[in-house]
Amino acid sequence: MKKLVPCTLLFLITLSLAAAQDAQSIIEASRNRITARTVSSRARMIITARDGSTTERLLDQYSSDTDGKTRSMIVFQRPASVAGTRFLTIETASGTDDRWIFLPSLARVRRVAASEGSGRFVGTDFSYDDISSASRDAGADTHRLVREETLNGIVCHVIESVPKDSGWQYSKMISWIAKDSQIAERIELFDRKGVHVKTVEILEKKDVQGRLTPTATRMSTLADGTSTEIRIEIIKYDDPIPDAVFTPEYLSTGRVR
Amino acid sequence: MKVRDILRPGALLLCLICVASAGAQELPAFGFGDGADDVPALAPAALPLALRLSGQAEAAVTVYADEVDRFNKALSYNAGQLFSGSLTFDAVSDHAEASIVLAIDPAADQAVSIDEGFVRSYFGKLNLEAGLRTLTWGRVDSEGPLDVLNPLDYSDLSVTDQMARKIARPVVKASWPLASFTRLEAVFLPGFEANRLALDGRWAQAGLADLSAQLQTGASAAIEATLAAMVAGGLLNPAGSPEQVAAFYATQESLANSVGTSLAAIGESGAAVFFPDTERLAYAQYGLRLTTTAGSHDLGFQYFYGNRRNPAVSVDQASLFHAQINPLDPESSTIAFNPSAISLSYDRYHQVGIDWATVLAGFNLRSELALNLTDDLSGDDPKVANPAVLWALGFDRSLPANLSLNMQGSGSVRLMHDKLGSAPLDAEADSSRTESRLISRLSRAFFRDELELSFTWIWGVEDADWYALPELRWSRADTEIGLRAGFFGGSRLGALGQYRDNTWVSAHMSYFF
Repeated sequence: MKKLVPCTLLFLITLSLAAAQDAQSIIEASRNRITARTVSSRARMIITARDGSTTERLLDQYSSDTDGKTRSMIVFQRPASVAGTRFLTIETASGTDDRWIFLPSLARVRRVAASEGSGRFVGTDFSYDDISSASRDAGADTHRLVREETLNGIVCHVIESVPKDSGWQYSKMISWIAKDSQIAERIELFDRKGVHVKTVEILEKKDVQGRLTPTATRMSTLADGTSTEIRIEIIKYDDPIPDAVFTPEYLSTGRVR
Repeated sequence: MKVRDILRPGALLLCLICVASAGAQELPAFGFGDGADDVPALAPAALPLALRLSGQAEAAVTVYADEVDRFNKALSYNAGQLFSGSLTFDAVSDHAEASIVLAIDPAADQAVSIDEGFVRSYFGKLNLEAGLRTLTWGRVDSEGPLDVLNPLDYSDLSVTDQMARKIARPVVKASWPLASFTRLEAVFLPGFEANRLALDGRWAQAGLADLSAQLQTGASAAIEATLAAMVAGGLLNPAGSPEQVAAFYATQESLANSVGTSLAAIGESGAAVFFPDTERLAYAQYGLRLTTTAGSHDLGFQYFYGNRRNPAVSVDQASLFHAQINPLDPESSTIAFNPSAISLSYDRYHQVGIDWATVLAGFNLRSELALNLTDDLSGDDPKVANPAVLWALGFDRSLPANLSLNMQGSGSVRLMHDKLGSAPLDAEADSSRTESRLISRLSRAFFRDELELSFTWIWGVEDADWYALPELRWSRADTEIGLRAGFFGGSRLGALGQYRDNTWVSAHMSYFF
C-alpha cells in the first residue's frame, strides 16, 4: 500500500498537471487565436443604465505587438465631452504596464496607476484592466478545466482561471471557450470576495481578413444592472501603424511626428 | 450694450459657423495605412483640409451669501446674464493647423472675444506654432513652479478651474522630438502680463483695494501735519484774531486743493495707474524645456528667463506727500502727491527647474523643483525680491469604496532671508521666509461616474487660512449640471482668509458639442 500511495499520488498529480496544461493550452489557444502584428479598430460603446437609457462613446484603438510587448493607443472621438482624450498603454520588460492618459480639459499627459486599473474606464462597465486584458498572458493565471457545456448551441470548454497575482481585480474568471472556434463566448468575472460581479458575452462574430472576429461584445455589471456593448465598426489586421503613435507626443498632439 | 455691439460679432460668428459646417468632416480619418502594403507608412494617411467646430454653452449663476442674507437684499439681487460659452474653430491639414477659440460672455466688456488663436506648422520633425496661446509646463495639477508661461486670473476666486484661470499670451513655440519619448521645446514671449488681480470690488486684494481712498486718508494726514507744523512755527494761529483764524482755514483749503489736484491722476484707475506698460520687448521672456521618459519615470528639465508674475510694491510713506510751505504767504503753501514714492515692478529672474512623475506603490506621484534667481543675489536690494526655491509635490490614489484622493503641497523658500530689513523700505520686509499651501481633493463617483461628489480644501499654512469647495456634478453624454460652493476661513490677513465674507454658491448647466 505504501508503494501504491506515492504512485497513486503521482498519477493524480500527473493527471492534474495534464488537465491544467490542457486548460492552459485551451486558454492560450483562445487568447492567441488571432495572430496579427497590429490591430486597428473603430468601435462604438453603448452604455446602458439600469433604467434602460443609453449613452454612446466612439473610440479608435490601435494595438501593436512588437518583440512580444504589446502597445495600445485609444483615441476617443465622441461624445464631445471626451473627444480628444487619449490613453496609451505600453507593456514593460517586467510584464507590467506603463499607462498614460491625455485629458484635453487639462491639456496635459498624466500617468495612470495600476491601482486605478480596477476603476471604470470612462464610465463604462469595463475597467482599465479589462481594456488591457486582451493581451493578458495565459501564464498569469492557474487554469482548470471544469466541464464541457453547450452555450447558445455552441459546445464549449468551461475553464476556471485563478490569477496568480492576488492583487488582480478578479479572484476568479470562468470562461466558456468554444471547442471549434476557440472564441471565449462568455466569461464570468468574480471579485476578490468571490462574488460574481460581471459577465462578458460575445454577441456577434464576423470573418475579417480570414480571422473570425467578435464584432459585438457586451459586459454586464450584475449588481448595478448596467451593461456596455462594444460594437466594432471598422477593424483591420496588420494595418501599418507607425511607432510614433505609441508615444507621449502622439498622446498629447494626436499627430504622428 | 448697443445692438451693433452684438450684431457685428454675431455676423462674424455666423460666417465662421457656415464655413465650418460646409467644410467639416464628420470624424477624423481612421488608421494610418491602407492595409494592403507590408511596408509601414512613415506618415499618417494624408489629411485633407478638415474644418471642425466645437464648443460649450453654459448657463450659470453665482450667488454670494452677503447679497441675499436679508430679504430686502435678496429682492435686489441681480442674477446677471446667466449665459456664457465658447466656440472653437479648428482647421487641420497635412502640414498645418489653425485654431481659434472665441469666448462668449454677454456680461463682459466685450461679448465676444478671442480666448486663443494660433497657427501650427509642421516642417519634418519640427513643429512651429505662434499666436495667442495657453500652454502648460510642469507636471503637477495646479500652480506648479514650472508652469511659468501664462499668467493666471485671480480677479474672481469663484473660478477654480486651473485652465479657465490661465490667460492666453502671444507666444512663439518650436518643438522637436529628439527620440520616441524625448522632446525639446523652445518658447519666446514678446511681452509680459502679470497675474490679473482685482483692484476693486469683493475680490480686490488687501492693499490694492480702494487705493484712492487710502491716498485720500494719507493726504488728510499730510494736511493736518503741515498745518500743525505751520502753527508750531508761528505762521498760523487758529485761535487768534478773526483774520488769523480766516488765514488758517484759507491755508487749509489751499492745501486740500493742491493735494486734490495732484491726486486727480489716480482718479478711478486706482492702483492701475502705477502698473508699468509690460507689452514691450523690454519685458520679453524665453525658455527651453526638455522632457523624456526613463523606464517608468517621466522627467522634465527647463530653463526660463522672464518676469515674476506678482509685482514688487515698495512705498516710501515719508515721501508720499511733499509740502512746500511759503512763510511769507502761508495761504499759497501747497502739498503735492509724489508718485515716485510708490514703486511697482516685476522682477526679472532666471529659472532652472526639474520635474518628475511616476507611479509608486499605487500612488501617481508628481513633483516639481525650481530655483528662481533674481537680480538681488546678495539679498539686500529693497526693491527686488530675493531668489527663492520653489517646490511642488502631489499624488493621486484610488481608495476603497470608489473614492479618489488627490493631494498636492506647494510652496517657496526665500533665500538670504536674513538680509531682509537691512535696507529701508524692503518690499519683502515683514514677510515669512516660507510660503506653503496644501490642496486636498476627495471625490467619489456614483452611477458609473455619472454623478461625482467632491470636496476640495486649500490650506494656506503660514497664513493660517483656508478655502473649502464642496461640489456635486452630474454628467451624461455631452451634458453636465453642477452645484458648487466656496467658503473662506482663517486669518483675515491671509491671502485666502481676507475673503471670509465672500461665501458663494454657484449652479451651472453645460452642453459640450
